[in-house]
Amino acid sequence: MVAIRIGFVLSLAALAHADDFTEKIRPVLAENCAKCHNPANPRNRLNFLKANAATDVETQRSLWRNVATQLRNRTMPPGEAKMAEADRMDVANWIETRLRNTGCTSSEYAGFVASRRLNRREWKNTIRDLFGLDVIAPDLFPADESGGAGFDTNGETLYVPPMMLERYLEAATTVLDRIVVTPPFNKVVLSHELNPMTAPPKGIKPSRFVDPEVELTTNVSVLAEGPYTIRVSVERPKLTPFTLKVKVDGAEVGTLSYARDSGGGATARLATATLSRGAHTISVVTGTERVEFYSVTVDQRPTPMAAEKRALHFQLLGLEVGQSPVDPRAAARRVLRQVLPKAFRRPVEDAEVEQFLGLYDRGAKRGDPFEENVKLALKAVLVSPRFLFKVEEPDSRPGIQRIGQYEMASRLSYFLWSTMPDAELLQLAGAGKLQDPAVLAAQVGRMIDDPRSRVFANGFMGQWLGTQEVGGRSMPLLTELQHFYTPEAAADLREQPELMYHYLLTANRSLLELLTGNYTFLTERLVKYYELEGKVKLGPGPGFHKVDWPDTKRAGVLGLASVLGMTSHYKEASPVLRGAWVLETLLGTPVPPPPADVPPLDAVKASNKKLTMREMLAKHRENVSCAACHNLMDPIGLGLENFDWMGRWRDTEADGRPVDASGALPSGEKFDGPEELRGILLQRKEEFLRQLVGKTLGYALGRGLQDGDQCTIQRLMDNLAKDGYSARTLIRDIVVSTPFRNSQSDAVVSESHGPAKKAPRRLLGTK
Amino acid sequence: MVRQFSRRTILRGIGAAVSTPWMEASLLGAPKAAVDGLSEPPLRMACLFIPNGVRPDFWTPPGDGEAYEFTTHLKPLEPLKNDFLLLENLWNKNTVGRNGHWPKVPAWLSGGFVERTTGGDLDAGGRTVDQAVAQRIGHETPLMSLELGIDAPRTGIDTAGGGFPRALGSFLSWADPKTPVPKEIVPQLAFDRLFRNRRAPVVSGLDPKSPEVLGSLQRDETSVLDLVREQARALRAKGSKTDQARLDEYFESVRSVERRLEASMKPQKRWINEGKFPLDRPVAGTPATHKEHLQLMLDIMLLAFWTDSTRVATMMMGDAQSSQDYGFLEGVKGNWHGISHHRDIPEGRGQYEKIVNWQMEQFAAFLTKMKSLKEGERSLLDNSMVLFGSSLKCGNRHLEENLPLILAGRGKGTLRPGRRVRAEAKTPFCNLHLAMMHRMGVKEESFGDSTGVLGGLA
Repeated sequence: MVAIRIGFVLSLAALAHADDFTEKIRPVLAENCAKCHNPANPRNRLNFLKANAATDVETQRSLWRNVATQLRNRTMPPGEAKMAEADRMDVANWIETRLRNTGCTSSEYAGFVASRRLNRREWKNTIRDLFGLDVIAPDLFPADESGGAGFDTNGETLYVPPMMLERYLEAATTVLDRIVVTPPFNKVVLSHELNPMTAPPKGIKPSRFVDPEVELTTNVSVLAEGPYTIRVSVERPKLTPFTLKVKVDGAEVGTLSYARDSGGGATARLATATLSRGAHTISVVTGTERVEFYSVTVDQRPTPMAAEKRALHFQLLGLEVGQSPVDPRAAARRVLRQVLPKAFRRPVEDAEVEQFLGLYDRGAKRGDPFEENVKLALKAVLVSPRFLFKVEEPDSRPGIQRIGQYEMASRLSYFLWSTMPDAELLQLAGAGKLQDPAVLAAQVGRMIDDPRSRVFANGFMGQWLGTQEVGGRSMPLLTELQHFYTPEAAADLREQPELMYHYLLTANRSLLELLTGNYTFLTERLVKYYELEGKVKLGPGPGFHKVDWPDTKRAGVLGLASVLGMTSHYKEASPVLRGAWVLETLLGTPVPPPPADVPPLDAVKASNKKLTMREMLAKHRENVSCAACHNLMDPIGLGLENFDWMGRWRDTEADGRPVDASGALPSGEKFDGPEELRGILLQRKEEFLRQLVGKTLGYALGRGLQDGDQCTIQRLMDNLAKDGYSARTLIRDIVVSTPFRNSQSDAVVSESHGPAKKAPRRLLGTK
Repeated sequence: MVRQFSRRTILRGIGAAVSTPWMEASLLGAPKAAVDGLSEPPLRMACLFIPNGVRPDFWTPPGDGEAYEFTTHLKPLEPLKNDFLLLENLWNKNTVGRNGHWPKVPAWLSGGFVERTTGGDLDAGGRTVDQAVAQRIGHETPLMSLELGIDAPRTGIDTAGGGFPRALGSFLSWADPKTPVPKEIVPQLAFDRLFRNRRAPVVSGLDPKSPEVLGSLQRDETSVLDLVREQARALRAKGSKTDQARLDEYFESVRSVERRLEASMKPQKRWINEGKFPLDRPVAGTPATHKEHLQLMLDIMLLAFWTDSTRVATMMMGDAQSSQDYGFLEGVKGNWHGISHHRDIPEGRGQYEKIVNWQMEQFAAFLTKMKSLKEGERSLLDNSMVLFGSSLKCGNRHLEENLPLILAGRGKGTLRPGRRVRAEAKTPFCNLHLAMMHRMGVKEESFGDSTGVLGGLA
């Protein structure tokens, strides 16, 4: 039986009147859930049906959030129970809206941010600012996960499996090898020192006679991996030429030939081998002849050195390449004292410096060169949890507590620059000024004006919209499109939304321009991509230029080919994907996955081959289960039908019929084409701003948003509305907000809920 | 930037011109005297995953007997017909009626119920069978397990596809429901991983605890790790409970790497094959073509097995919704996932069939190579269990029932290949996982949603 249809239209659930609970919401839940969640049954532990009024929902927040999640994820009601799709969505929306609207009735909330590992972007930028060295991080690490609000800044999903730790060890070596120049390795082993050893020669010549088919060995310990030469010096054969085999760790690396020379005298031949850091056994094996040996020399082959490396070496150690300090240990301590506070982003006590100096001593004891020993200590710095994690030492006191000065410096710099704090931030932290709202506001301004804020714009927009995948997994490059869709064009498409957002930040424009701004950033390649030759005029010079679109079809992010292309199927624009994207990404209203028992769109199409996309979708919506969501998704997507699967404009369908981009939302608003659709979306700017504010807050905090954050979001939205939605206001307000400046170690984190894991039965599965 | 290279440059590359002794020593197996070898080869387990399904009627042969006709998709495996089992009627119940792709990937080897979350509370529902095995027997080899793939992990939430984190579709292996095991996708990194901790013996003949060894270069990393482990310990002591999760993971990882370093200094009881495996160290970067990339990664898996560097490996021949461009196949235009939704329109469906057949050809070539690698009396394939298949039956409609699955190899005599094994309809795939676990020496009573051990394999 179908439940009483709830009267309101989804998009207007924003109101979520309290009266609706008793009249509409509870009856639906009672009908669908009471069988198992009977409030009269003492064994029923999830007693949400005990609620009789909307106020009960507001006070049992996590229980009701769970109810909404279960409905949305289609995990409840289970199995055969049939809940009308429209009811499912309406109830979930009502609960979520109610919880949101009443967020500020509960006490103040700061939440807890766990120590977060630097993600790949942050690691790369931090290394750059620490040492002046640019490394290509994707060659060293796998890409990071994202989570929470959907960003790679989310601490809970920045894992540290053993493989990552191995990579960090290796990356530390790679980085330090590229900065510090160690004197090249050289070792001469005289003939009598070769194993088996003999007494030093007593004659004039420092030589030794070795019988045929004898293996002489020596051990060397090299410091750096790379190419080495092994030079074997012997007396020239006067009668019969001979060969010697050279082995490293038992594996043959070369055969050396010595030609006959009646004059005699010493001569040498070379073998080459790549040696890893560590001990190796070098051996020389004689052939059929008796050989008079002089020595074996192992040399590191010089690698060309750029002036840049000399500069980096000097900058780190305060010494020219090859120059030795007078007091090496004191010099090492000085280097560590300089590097550690920067690397750990806070002051460092002497005792900690001494710990790292212990590693210097380890190498020094072996007699290794100064440079290598400093490297060993710095290697530990670069794999230390204090470097790899944004450590926030928690306050053991319960409740909301201000975080420390240096922690504020790191939160700020990783939020807006994705790198370590600069000297000014550290200095302000040292002066205890980074909890002063006026200072924070001034710093936000300074940081946005700094070119490094582009990193934030890129990371935030690329991940929020999903456009960072364009040219890879979204809108993959295809041979058939290479006349306009090149790797460079894809990179340009990725940059478009990032540049737009960065412009909003730097010029302090209204965030609503993300929906309405009728301008964009184009390169010559993009002019070709968008087929705008002759219609727009770019400024002089290569690269991007800000231009107005020639007409009003493409204003805002919904006009960008990246967004339109990634929500298309191969060779077919998808109104469903586009509608779902607008609802979820722009408006923050997740659409549930399709129920299990409905015929997929494909099957509809297969049986009706002549149908247009519009007709096919209409047919699909005849099914009540499908209609609940498709009524919401399809019209929005159909309004974008003028954009083809690559986001290029089209006036006609593939079969020549004119494109129909008209539609009507369930709430009754009618529109035709993208401009009118945008007008309707603008009426829902509350939802859009809530989504944008939540996403920005989630990116900034590096954690998933909790129920308690609703109040912060509401306040941010209120302020934003007062300030003309200006982009800087939002960033500034986030930085001075309660969760950004505080920590709450006893914060309640909502749990996830799946079906109970059943105990397995013992049955055999095959016949 | 990623450098591209061709197959030929790999072969001409570093291995041939400049030899790398520690690697060659490793390829040859360590010096015999240093290693206490096993008297017989061990059993290996590999799981090869293809995304985006198959065409059901081109896969499942008609009839229900043990003997069967080779259908279009299975045709490339015909020369190997006595080396594999065709498995029917297995499924993962917990993936039914949810998103078409993302949750099906972690569930493939775990059977778990994957939560639809935004990542902070990521929950893939279970540990995967390869990790369950690796966690038990992984200490016997230099690497616990080896995870390989082609595609870089995707990030973000699939806002257009039901709100699942895309990361789910990028990880076949999960150490626990919250921890995916990253896969190697760059050939050189994967290759080096096999030998990272197997450099030359410290100084042969010396006691590992002697001052010379403790002070040696090889122990430097251990002393670095000792220091940072102490730092993590101090931080943990101060931190709250919530904060400890990631620091605990860091701490455990440090210990794991330390253990591996320690193990590399001790002789291990491993199987040593005669001869040299014909694979040079790949040059940096991603190979120029998909085919070279795939073959190279599969070769590295074989190298890992052949050198007994690990006994458990997984390979994603594509991530969920792989959008690999298959324009290199005659008559195919477009990307894999796009083409998989062919809507039963003959033209698109034909392209889809070609792509699936190509996967089957690659798999057949892999098995053929395994068969050609001799291990004493038998072949590497005889001493292995190789699971191959997809997490959905039909790429077009995301069907979950009767997954397309093959189990190749003789499992050291514990499998009787050359047949079709038809389980009852809707038998948990986990019953097979449990059967493989038992063969790997991990005796558990149940796994995931298993209802028993899948019978009929031997």
